[in-house]
Amino acid sequence: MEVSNIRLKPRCDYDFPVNYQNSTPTQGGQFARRVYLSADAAYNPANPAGTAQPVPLQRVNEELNNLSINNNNNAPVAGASPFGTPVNGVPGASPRLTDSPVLRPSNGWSAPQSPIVSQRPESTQNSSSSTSNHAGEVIPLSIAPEVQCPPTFLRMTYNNIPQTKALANKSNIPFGCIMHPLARPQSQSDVIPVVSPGLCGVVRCRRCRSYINPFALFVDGGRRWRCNFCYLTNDVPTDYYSPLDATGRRTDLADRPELQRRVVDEASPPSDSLPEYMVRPPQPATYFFLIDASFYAISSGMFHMTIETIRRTLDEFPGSPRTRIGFITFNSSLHFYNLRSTLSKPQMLVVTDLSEVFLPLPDDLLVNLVDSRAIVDTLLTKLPSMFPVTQNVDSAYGMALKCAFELIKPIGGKIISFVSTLPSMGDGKLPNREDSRIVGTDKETILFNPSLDDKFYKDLAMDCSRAQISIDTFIFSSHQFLDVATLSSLSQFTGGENYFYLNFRSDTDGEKLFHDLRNNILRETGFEAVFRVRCSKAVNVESQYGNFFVRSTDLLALPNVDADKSYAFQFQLVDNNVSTKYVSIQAALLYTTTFGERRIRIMTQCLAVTNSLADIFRSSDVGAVTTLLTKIAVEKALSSKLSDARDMLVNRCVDILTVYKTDLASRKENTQLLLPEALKLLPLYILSVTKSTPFRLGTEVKPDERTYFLNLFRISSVQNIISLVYPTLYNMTNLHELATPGTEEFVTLPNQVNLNSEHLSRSGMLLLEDSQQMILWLGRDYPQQNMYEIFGIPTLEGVDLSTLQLPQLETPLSVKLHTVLNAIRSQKSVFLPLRIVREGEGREYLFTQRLVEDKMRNSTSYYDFLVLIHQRIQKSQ
Amino acid sequence: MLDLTALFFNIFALLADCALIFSNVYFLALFSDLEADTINPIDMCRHLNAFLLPEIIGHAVLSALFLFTGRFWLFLLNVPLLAWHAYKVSTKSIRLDATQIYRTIGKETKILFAKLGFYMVCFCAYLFYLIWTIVDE
Ligand SMILES: [Zn+2]
Repeated sequence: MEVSNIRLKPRCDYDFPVNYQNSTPTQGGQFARRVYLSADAAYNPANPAGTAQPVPLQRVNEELNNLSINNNNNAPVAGASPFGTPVNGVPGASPRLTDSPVLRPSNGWSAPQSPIVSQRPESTQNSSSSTSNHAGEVIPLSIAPEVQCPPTFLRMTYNNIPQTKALANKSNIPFGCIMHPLARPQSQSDVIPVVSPGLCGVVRCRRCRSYINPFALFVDGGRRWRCNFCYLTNDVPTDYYSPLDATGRRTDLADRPELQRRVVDEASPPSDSLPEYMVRPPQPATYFFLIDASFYAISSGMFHMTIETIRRTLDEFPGSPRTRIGFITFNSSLHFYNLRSTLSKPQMLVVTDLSEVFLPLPDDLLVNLVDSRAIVDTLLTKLPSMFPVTQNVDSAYGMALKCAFELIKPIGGKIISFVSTLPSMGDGKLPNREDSRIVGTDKETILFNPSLDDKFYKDLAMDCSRAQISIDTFIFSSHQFLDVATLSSLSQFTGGENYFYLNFRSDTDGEKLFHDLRNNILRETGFEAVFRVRCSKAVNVESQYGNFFVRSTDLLALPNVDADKSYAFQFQLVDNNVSTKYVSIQAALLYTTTFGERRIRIMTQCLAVTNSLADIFRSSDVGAVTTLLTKIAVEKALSSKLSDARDMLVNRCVDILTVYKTDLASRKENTQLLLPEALKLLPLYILSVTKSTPFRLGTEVKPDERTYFLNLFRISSVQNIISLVYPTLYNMTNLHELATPGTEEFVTLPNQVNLNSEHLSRSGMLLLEDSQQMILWLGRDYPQQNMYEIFGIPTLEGVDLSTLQLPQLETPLSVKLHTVLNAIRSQKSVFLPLRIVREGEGREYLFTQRLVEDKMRNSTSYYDFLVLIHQRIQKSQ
Repeated sequence: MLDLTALFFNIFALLADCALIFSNVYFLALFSDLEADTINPIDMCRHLNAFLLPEIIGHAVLSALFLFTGRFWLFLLNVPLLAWHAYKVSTKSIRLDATQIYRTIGKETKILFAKLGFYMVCFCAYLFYLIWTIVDE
């Protein structure tokens, strides 16, 4: 059998052309630098199933006989595409495009290789011919755009629009999308063209203000265009006019990316139309650092590591030469730093009286980085020695924030703060709300929400949002309650982000802090942004999920927006019966780039209306469905309680599958558990979500940690959420057999296996990766020889694994291991620290608790969960 | 003989109720401005929050006066709203949250309309009481 099944590819966040096995490494432009092949494909192409799909379920099926999984054989949906993807290539599109991975939004998510995944017969692969109707297929109104909306930027939960409200409700699948406007490009097709505006500016509909897009229809010989949102016929501006060819396409189509691509960047028009896109000239990139200098910050090494990271990143700060920078350190007093470029060395100004803080020399506390480069460098070199170990355990964080706010208020920008002590002085002082009696009970919810007594942080967040300031908070906890919920409300409403380090130690966590902070500064960032989603009249946005402030009914204020933020939207039908054939959705992000250009990122999606439930099921994207449900569950956990959130997830899963069975299953008398092809991983993912860190039952997860993860889930993209709840597990036992990396371009990754303990052998080695960290698990009897090659010592008996660093050795096994680790890291935007655990050792739970298919203390195994779901479906019929 | 104190008290109650009615109408106007996007939610909530506590205090004082002047029926009439306000104070949810305002806009408008209706009923009751006081003499 030909190796053509994408599932054999280890999960890989970079979507390479599907036919990568045949391509030479140099093909495919800059994105082919690294190509990750599955181990099988690399050294055993004859055995595509060699990834050893363990099929525990089939085994169980034989035992139980009444439970089996619906594979394609009894799939009621005729002609379902092989990857459960609705979006067929537009007929006539070039074969290259049909093969393009972007046509299959969900294929990246088949990777977990669940036991329920079975090989599909080749015959169903040819789906385009067997599709009887047009539903699910995107036919543009005017021209066939050459490329589908890249899933990197926009993923719908299903790629159809239900015709009636009844149909939308009936499927039980949430109707929405996850948008990731500044996502990092993952393939050549994700590189966004920048359209420079002509003299006429950006072409927009006169009535609904939507932007021109590939689905607009040019009529009247090209002199007018019909808006695909409100159907108003607009005049084409004279500068934009182009005659139409015989097929009705504009003759200049090739030069107009905005009419061909679903995601484009429009550079904002010149200043004559200034008021429309900006209220002031674009701001310079502005960074203000607030660094805790209290006892724990100094003693844990956080202070030194932070300063060192900033110093080493100074040369790379974006936005040069306009970048502005400033610093405040704080403990029981506030320390300002005069960085005027004409000084020979920086001046420190200490304010101890917090009752009336005034800002000394406001102009010299926030300076241009280029002008004051030398003096900033001096400051950062000297700072660590200026704060020797102190006994000062107080924190005037609130006052520091207020000063930073006043300083950058006229410009806007980013405040990056580092907090290791509960604010204890002046404004913004927080009491320790943690009450061990409520941890683990339903009342714990109040700890996930900002304190009800707090006015300071929420009001400050509002002020910051208005002044275009975003606040990122790095929180370092020493097992002490830090009220992450209240502190993070600052980030939540200003489009910022939180980082949380439990029991921070610079020797083990320093590397992660270094990479996190660098990524925070260097990633693509947009300033003073607003985000708006427009839909055809039939549909509107019901609710939004993410870190933002809703400034008016459909306008999200984002003082900062960056490559790691995604936003989820839930739609609802306005009309009871949608009369149009297509519905368009357009998201526009207006932002200032770090180099001071005003841009609009426009993402347009046009979907066919359907009245068939089968189309909805067939076109669903399990990753997006899981992500949206998770985000709804986060809100539920915050507004109600964790157990309600878990119940909601399971109930939704049961409801979806029940509808599928009652309405779509071909054989009604069938007593098997039927899973829709596109959503076959849904039960697995839902179970994984309920077992994930924030939703897990029990008291091991501290309230602060839960809050952090709930916040993280709120902003995470589909890829990250799936990876967080269902980590990738590599079987590294036969690492020495792995093909040696021949060239720089090829890295062979080990086999991926399911997340259950069947693969744990006493002489084995496994690697788990969840987009936050990697955990290397070693069996008790892992060969001494290998151990020696990897660690330089024959046994790990008696070694403190919590501080053990993986040495870089010259031995073949060590080289291979490091190659694999680096390859995995290079696919992720955040740095993945490596933890090492051993079978039977105390910290092994870090690893075993992630094996979501296993039965755990407080939760069911995947198999039991399927049985439970099956019983509930049977009952509800 | 006409009891002047009672008369003036009744007129005062009537005027106080008018003030409460007007404040509620003003709140509703702010909400409709918000829906029409003519006001920023931050300003709107700051504006409104400044009035919410005085409204509750005003209503509580008026009810207390009814109780202490022996107008038990009028006091009883006000008990439901007193209870609602007590609930809001005890759950620390008096202030409107600008970050949640678009999610709660429907609910809050409904509450405001209900309160407006309640004050209207009170207005009729006080008016009736005033006339009755005069006629009774
Ligand atoms: Zn329009």
